[in-house]
Amino acid sequence: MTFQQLQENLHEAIEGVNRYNPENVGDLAACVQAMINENKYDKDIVLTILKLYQLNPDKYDESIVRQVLLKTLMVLPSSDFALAKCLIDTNRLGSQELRRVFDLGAVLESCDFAVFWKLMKGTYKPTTNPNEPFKVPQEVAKIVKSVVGFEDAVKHYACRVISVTYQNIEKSLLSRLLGGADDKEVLELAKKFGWESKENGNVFFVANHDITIKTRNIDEKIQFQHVAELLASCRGPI
Amino acid sequence: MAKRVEFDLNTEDLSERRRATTYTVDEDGVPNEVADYLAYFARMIEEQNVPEILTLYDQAFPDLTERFFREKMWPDETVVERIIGPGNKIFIILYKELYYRQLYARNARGPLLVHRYESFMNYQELFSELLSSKDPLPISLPNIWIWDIIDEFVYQFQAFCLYKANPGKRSADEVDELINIEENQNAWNIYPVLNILYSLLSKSQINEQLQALREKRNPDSVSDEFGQSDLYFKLGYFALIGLLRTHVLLGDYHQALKTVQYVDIDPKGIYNTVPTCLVTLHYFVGFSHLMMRNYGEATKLFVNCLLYIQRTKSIQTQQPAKKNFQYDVIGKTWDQLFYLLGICLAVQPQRIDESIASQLSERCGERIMHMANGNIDEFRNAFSTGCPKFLSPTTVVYEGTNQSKEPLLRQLQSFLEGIESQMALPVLRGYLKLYTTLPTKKLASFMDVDNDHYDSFLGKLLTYKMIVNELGKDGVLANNDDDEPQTDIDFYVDRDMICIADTKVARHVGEHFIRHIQKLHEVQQVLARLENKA
Repeated sequence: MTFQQLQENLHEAIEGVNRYNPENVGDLAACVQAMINENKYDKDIVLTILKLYQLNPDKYDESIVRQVLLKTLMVLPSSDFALAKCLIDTNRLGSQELRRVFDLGAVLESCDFAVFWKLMKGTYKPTTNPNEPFKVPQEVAKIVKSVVGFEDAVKHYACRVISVTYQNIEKSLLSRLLGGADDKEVLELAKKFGWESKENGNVFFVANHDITIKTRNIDEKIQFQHVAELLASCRGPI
Repeated sequence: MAKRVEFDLNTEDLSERRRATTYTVDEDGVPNEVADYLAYFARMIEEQNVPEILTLYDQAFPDLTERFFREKMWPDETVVERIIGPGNKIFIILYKELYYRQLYARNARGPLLVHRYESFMNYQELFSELLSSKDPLPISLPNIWIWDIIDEFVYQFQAFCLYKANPGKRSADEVDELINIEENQNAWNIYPVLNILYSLLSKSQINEQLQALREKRNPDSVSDEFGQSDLYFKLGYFALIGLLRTHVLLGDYHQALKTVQYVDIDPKGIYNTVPTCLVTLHYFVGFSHLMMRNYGEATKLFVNCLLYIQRTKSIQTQQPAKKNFQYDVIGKTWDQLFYLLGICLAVQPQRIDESIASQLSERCGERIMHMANGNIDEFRNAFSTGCPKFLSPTTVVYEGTNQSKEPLLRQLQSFLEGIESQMALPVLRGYLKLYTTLPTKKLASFMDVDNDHYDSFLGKLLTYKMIVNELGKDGVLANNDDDEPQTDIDFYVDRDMICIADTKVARHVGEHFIRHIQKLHEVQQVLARLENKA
């Protein structure tokens, strides 16, 4: 079945208290798989399956949990990844596989696109630090490539945070943050987000932030009406 | 209000007289006054006299508890049935609800397993009476009691989960009993608990009705006779908030906020009539936002809740009856709210109400400073103190170590992981505050970032803006924003120049003067009186 069919059926099946029906686990898992293959997403479905895994530990399937986490990363900057993490019990966290996704999540949550793209392009150099999260950087790339549309989702996420941060941005920087995207791709994304190309296409005008982000002084305003009663009640000194 | 006082005086008179002349105890060991009280209570329930029930529930019960039942428990159901006569099933169930609540409140180590079990059976009976009746039950209860029933139900569920996870809390006999209960899953299991709460929602059609009310349509057009019954409507309404709490305790914050999506936070909401309900709603909605990293939203809710408690504190403390055996939810939440607010403001400083701000800095000013400087342990402390008691409904430990803290540790860890990715923010703020414009390269060099890591460094600026602009918010319970900026410092990047805007708020001196004018006024009046006397 396609994602759409599964989604429609499931929405009725997980309404109200039925959300907790353990018999839905199979269909929910199939739906998560369909999300991965068809590049679709449904927040209620992914969070519901995590809750069911918590309540029915015998049905736990780590590969589905990993896929769910990857899907939630694809909707950053929404907090779905943070929400999903709260629904995974401590005793599951020992797994290397999950740890890898968590570490990837930490990179993306802190908008460290530079590291993300290095991991994807195989140019990441692990440090010798014992806490180095990506000792085998190829593994991360492998996980990400198995998810349809993951890299595009990250580009989209980057554009959203750039939108609220930059007034003008140089094309070279933009291209770097988008993983070395070529001119055509940069232009397409810019168009999608309504950025204007200027100075022979070397700079993009993103948004006019100086209108809203201004230095202000807020003074206290006391209106006569508000204090009139008080003042009227005061007599002069005795 | 006048009526309550009147009643209190009456009972005082009555008891004074009894003590002097006819203070007797009948064969069950129940003082006459208590027997009278129970009989009268049962009659008022039958007559659906809500104002009288409120007094009997809210004032007379704690008062009698204080006078007659400090050392021993209230009489059990068979005695009560003898006093009020047979055929009064609902009253007995309601009475038992109060009875078990007392048992829970009295034992610092928690009640015996058998009482936990019996209390659940009583709730199940109550809710099945309500839910399986063909017509709405002809009962009317004051809002506070309806809320207390729901709230206590969720509390006892929570208490049971913590009890299951802690083998140190039970005797050898209880272990066998617990194995039995867990095998049959017949008490305080997550499924029946959720089932009851969700059934209350659907029976009362509460979501449909609240949605209709929000859209200014007639709620009766979307509800049947159950939904139109005042009792069922309110049960449904309070069940939403009970469910909100349950979801948060289970770490399910999205579901928590979804549950209360039709509960408007405004002065007209029913929650306003019950202080503990108002506090619960604000605390748990605010906490969910905190976990979803909507610090601005969380801050607003925490501050409003603190303001409310502050405003009503004098009234709360004037009710001495509340002290006995009643858990001080509001007082406890008051303390917790400051810790949570401290977290929000350390990550995302904002302008808040001045009276709350000054109390906050008095209580945890130093903690906030440490958090703002990136001290993770301080975040850990503040979170652990401020968070609710999380639970895992599937954990049963028969021997070994107490695992009731596991769910807390899990939530704490995912919270701290989020904080770590935002930890550069306070440092950034520190630099940004000093400039109106600052080249990105220069800031990078201040922060010891070399060229290779320059793009990663830009990520910190992007994260800052992402958090401040609350990009993660998905519109559930969104409040309309006022136009004044709440953050004291904001910026945007123009190519490689950071342009910084700060908002300076002049000290509000008006309030200060008004207070002193009033004080002076009072002093003058005192002086004038003295002068007259002399």
